[in-house]
Amino acid sequence: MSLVFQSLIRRTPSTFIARIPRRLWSSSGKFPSHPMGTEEYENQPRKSITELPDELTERGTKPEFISGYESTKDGWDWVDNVLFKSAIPEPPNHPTPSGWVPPDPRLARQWPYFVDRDRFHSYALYVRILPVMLEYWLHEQHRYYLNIFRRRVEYDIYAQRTRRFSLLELISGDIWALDHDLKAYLTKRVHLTDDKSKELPILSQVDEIKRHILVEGEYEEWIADFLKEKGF
Amino acid sequence: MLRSLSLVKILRNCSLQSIRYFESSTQSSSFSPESSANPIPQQLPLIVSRQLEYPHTRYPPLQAWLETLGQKRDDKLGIVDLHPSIWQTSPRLDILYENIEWQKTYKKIDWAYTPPHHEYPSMRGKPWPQKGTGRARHKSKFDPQWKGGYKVHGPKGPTSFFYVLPKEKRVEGLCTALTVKLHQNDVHFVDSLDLPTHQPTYLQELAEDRFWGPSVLFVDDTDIMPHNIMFASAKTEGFTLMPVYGLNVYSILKHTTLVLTIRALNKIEKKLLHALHSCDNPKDQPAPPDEP
Repeated sequence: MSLVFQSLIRRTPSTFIARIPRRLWSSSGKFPSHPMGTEEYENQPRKSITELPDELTERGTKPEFISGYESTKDGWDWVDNVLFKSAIPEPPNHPTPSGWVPPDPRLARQWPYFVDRDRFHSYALYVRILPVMLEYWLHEQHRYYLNIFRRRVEYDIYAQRTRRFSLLELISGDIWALDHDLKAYLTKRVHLTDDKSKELPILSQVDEIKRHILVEGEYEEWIADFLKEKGF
Repeated sequence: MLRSLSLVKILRNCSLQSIRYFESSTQSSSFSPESSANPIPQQLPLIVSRQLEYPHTRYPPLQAWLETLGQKRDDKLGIVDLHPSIWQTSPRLDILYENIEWQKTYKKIDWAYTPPHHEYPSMRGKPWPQKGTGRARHKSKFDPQWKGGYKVHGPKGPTSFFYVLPKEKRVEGLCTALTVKLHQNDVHFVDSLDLPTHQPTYLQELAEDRFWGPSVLFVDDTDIMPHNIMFASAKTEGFTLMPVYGLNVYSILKHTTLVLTIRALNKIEKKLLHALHSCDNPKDQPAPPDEP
């Protein structure tokens, strides 16, 4: 359809357009321009792509089979290995060479709190990265919260102006007791290493509704050691 | 109930025999029309010891009374074990809110539509000449500043607010709703939904005597319900029958009381535990090993 005709159709009100039936107009003036618009073509039984003539397929060449094939039911194990399975296998009852340690329920029962494992039998311990609030103008201060979208956070990670937290989830029981014990353990650990980069005091945020603790700084390995000691 | 039976008798009665009798009676009577409720077995109490999958490392199973709708008197049939991962979670109120908002919003379609300028009949042009009349100069009668004119960036067409909440949040919402209901004494477990009569007054008086609140949600495992409860709840305002696949956070919280059958409980626990302990999204999975 010509551009002028298209723009005319767009500008006329819809009632005017409805009176004109839509057809495929060809450039040569013959109607219809392609057999696909006709009823007899549409009502034909559909053929597979290998049987259609070349002008009606997208690519110019007809696909050909290079060699024959035979179907067997042997080797299902190799196929089964690649398939995705939703069931998670049970872990062993002993520590593994990778450093994974099974939970000790007898030891974990004595504390007033409990940290559960996630469905993959690992600690619910994650890193959270947020951008630092730059010196925005006063009328741009609300932009800090809008800038926590993915691209902005990635640029801030690249520019190394970020705040990093360790997040511990799946806590039940007395959260504040766990928070107190965790902070005591981490301060003791910081004193032992005598590292100037680690800042004291260790700050944390406790969310009672979401049942998580957010610790400022990247203390994930130390928190994992703490959980191992407690038997969670 | 317990005072009349000695410890030895209780242990003897809690054998597989009584449980098998209980199970067979529920299966046979669930599809019988207009029959009296199955007689309560003479050996009471029944402790329906259910095998719980994925046992929790820290918390033991919860326990709740097993009641019956077959008679008006509130005789407890026994005790039911409940899984702590579903019935003793820390209540996530934020996830409950998200579930309710999702249930309200995903069906919403906003039909507001203001036609844009090319759908207005402005083919004629200027309403009056540019100069001469004492009026302001205008190009057409339907510009935005006119009364009855088009709107430039108005609502266009039906907009849908459809989205699907992530599966983990929906599962956690259900667990939280069930936990909250149980710990507020609003959940009752029942052997089956068989009633002796189809009269709605029977069920209403039963619910009143047991302080079951103005609205009750009866949940069974299939969508084919016994005749008597069907007639009784159809005539009563606030009593709803629901199969397990219709269970949702909004209905659980909307109805004051939740009444579950044992078969419904088994199905719900199985589904929720499988959802909590399996992974459907292959995105973060490690690569499979080379050898099978």
